Amino acid sequence: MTAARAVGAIRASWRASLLAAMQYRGNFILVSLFSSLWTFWSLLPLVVVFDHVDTIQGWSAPEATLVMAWFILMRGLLDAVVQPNLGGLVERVRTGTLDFILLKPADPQLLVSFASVDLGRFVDVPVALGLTVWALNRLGHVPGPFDVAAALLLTVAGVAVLYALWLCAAATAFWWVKVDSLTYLLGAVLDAGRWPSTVYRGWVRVLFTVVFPIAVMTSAPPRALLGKLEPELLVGALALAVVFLAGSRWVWRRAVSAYTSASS
Amino acid sequence: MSRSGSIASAFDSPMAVLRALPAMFRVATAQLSAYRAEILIWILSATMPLVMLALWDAVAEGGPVAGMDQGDMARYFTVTLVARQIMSAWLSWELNPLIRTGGLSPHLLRPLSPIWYYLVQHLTHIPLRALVLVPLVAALVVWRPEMGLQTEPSRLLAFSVACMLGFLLNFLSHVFFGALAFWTGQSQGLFMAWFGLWSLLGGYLMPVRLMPEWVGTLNAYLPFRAMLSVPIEIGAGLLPESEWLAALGHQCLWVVAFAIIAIGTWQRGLRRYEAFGA
Repeated sequence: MTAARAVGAIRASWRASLLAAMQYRGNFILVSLFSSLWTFWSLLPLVVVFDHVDTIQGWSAPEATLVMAWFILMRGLLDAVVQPNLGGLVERVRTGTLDFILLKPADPQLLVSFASVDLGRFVDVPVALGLTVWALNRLGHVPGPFDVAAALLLTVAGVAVLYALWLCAAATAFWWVKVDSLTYLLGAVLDAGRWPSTVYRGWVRVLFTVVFPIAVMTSAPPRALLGKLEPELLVGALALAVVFLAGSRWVWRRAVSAYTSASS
Repeated sequence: MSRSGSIASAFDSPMAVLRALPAMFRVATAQLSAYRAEILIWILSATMPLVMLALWDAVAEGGPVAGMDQGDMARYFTVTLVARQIMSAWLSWELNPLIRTGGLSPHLLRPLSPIWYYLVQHLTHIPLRALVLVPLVAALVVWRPEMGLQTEPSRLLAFSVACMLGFLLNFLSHVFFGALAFWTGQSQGLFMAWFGLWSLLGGYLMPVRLMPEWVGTLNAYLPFRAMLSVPIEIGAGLLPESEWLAALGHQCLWVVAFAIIAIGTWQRGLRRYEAFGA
């Protein structure tokens, strides 16, 4: 089973990263500290906004903070897992070292997607969790078990969509070898997920709901947590995630068959 | 070493620089056309002003914020997008690996300080950036006609001058932070801290006037307004015409200060680099 072998290899690689991080503890702590400082810095625009108004498009300060928490979570997972792997894919295609991965008896998509990890960026996960607890406390809202379950489900869907988008962007390297900044462009678009999706109007909102569904990634889980999620949105988001994952798998297969390897 | 004689001299003779200019422009333009697809993507990645516009647009929907309505916000962030693009610098990102790996050495063999070439390289990007911006700005104006972009010649001239001064400030700060790598090996972290301050106090994320008053007071003693906000304020019509000259003079002072600090740091760093024997 190639997938099981890939999981084994990935687990070994992550353990090695953990050992390296524990060996260079000082550096690890510094990187984590810096990363979380940067995260708090990115909250400042919202602080200024709510200095001037009480709500934006019906979202109060704690509610908008929840959206920001999910943005931080997505960004953190992106920087910790997705980017270190898929960002390096372009270089592997360019130099032909992808051959070494394709030769291994394990699922190459899994290896290419998850073998490396930047543990320092995981600090964003507790930061996002802390912001969530703070915001819910401010709202005096205790989400019910179904709301929490829906939020978790939507978070998984959001991560799936995020991963699928990045895999497609990185796969373009097989056709246009030099376009290694495409994933950087996607990262810039992801920035739009900092605010509740309702601040976007007209066709921009459609773009951010269906084509680049940041609404699913950062606005839908907080809505679920607040008990404001329409059931059809939950179903729609999950369906979207499945479509994106299947689509990215298809793009990956096409891309690998277009790969000419180092020798040709 | 004999080469250090020409390199370590703080300033190359203006005549030598002028003579080398055509050749430097030719090389830089060739490099630019080789990497055009990547550069296009880098340009398109600076979407932050649009993301911030969406936020402030929604905030100003219920009425003007600090005297700025939705049209003002659209104008402010459109001008921010343009100013940011024209004034882009990225030198420290390139200098860091060059210094760490010793890749800088061949650059030092050239008869002029490589800083001149880096400067020319940055300048050749500006026409391409302007070209990409035209359709982008046109689309924004069509989408949000209420922004009422002002384009009288005097404003365009003052905006261009302010942008050139702002570009010099950005470039020189990159020389400084890049040169820090002579000591630390890696200075991107320090640059990111600087970038964070710049994005907030320079008006990249929001008009500075929306921030609490003490921030404005503090900002008067810091360079960030000169680096970004002055061109935006002129271009977006936030600064009365009578104050333009003073603002440009304020920028000039910072250019002088930055030049002294950046070039001084670079020279000291180079001596250290050569002491390594690289």
